[in-house]
Amino acid sequence: MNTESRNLYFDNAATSWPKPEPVYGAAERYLRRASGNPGRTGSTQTIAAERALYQARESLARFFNAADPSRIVFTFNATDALNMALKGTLAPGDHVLYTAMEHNSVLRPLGGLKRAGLISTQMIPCSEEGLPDLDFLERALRRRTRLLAVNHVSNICGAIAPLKEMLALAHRHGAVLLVDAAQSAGVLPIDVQALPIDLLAFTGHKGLLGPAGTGGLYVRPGLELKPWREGGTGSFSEQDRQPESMPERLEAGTLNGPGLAGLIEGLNFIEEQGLEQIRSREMALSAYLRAKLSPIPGLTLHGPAEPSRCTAVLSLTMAGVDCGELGYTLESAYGILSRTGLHCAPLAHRALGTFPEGTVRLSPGVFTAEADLAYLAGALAEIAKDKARKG
Amino acid sequence: MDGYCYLTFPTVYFAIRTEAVLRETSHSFKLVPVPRSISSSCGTALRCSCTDLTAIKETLTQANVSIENSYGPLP
Ligand SMILES: Cc1ncc(COP(=O)(O)O)c(C=O)c1O
Repeated sequence: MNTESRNLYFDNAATSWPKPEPVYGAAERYLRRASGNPGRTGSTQTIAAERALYQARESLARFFNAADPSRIVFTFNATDALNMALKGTLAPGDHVLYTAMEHNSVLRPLGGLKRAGLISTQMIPCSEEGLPDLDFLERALRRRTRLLAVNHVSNICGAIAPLKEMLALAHRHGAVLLVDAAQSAGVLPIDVQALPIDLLAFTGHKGLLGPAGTGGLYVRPGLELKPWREGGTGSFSEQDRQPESMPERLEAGTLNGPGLAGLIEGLNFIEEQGLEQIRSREMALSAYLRAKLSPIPGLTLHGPAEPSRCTAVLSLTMAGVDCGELGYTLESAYGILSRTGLHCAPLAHRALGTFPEGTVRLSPGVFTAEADLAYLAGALAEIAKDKARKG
Repeated sequence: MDGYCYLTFPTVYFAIRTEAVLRETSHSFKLVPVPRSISSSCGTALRCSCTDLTAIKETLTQANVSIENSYGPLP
């Protein structure tokens, strides 16, 4: 089968690829022309660099409907933003709730704070479809609960957390809601005014279609975090303390200018195409793939099947076939790229019943075509048939 | 005219934002490195004609741009 013209990259949940064409050009232009260190001295080149950062901040604020762009803090990825949010918010004695769908970028910082004796934590269990138990959450919230961490969209099976209900519960008990939007930003609409999320951590290199090394944290007005990283900001340089004003308060050090210049173009692409259109197209493709995969004997799809409750991220297992081996066969025999194993979310695999073997994750993206999915489904059917024949 | 007037800002964010705000007006202005004779918490300043200074300050304040200080005329 000719694979030359196909897009067989099904690992967009790890990082989106390819990027929209203007993303590459913008990063290159920044590197060639706009260098100089933003925020430091005011040469003309530096001002060009500052303009790019300003524009990135404005674009992100518009994208998430944040009224005040200075509440958007640039980080280097979602992990960085999550660490900044947790370590900047939590104080000794705090109680923290998190769902079983959390990524290690939440589990490990929380684990560290807990082992240091600073906080207590409790996990909200999730169903086999990856949806959190809201009754459990309601009972678990207590007076000392400072924060609830929620993975908006599972990176394993695409399950969408009921943010609205969880936010209402958290706020009723005076807790702050931290949303991990690593998998949802650029995939589902997020409006921080319609749904007053306190802390929104996102990454630039997945659904926002930007380069790696970009991301951010939205911090709701009125919530002031302790600086997690301190250093130069180019402002108030005579003081030996971090400025209190946002975003400098949380943004020390040279930023990823070329990356952010590229990210602006990723956001532009999404705005031009329309997030709703991208979402409905992805869900149509996902339904197509599910329909092709469900009849394959021995193949199990994990997570919710109902399109309103998930994104296009899909996890599967094949009876009698190790998922690492399945991923390897897909790549070596068919040129198909997937992601196998535990996907940095061990508790989520426990909830889905796929621990410790893990799954094969397939995540189409904005540039995936139906023909690519037909080829993928054909490959999986062939592997299953082969397995049945050999036993 | 004898020299320019300058506005400084608490952060770079506001300095850059003046461009978007003032582009809508007929004032001429330029973002420049802060002259050595003045000190500012951010390295970028706005340079304009001193006759426009009051009007520019008013426009910026209305658009919620924080101004740190104003100077001038400087050679
Ligand atoms: C749900 C979730 N949270 C956090 C992350 C971390 O993102 P990053 O690697 O960009 O920091 C990822 C992706 O790897 C993820 O899928």
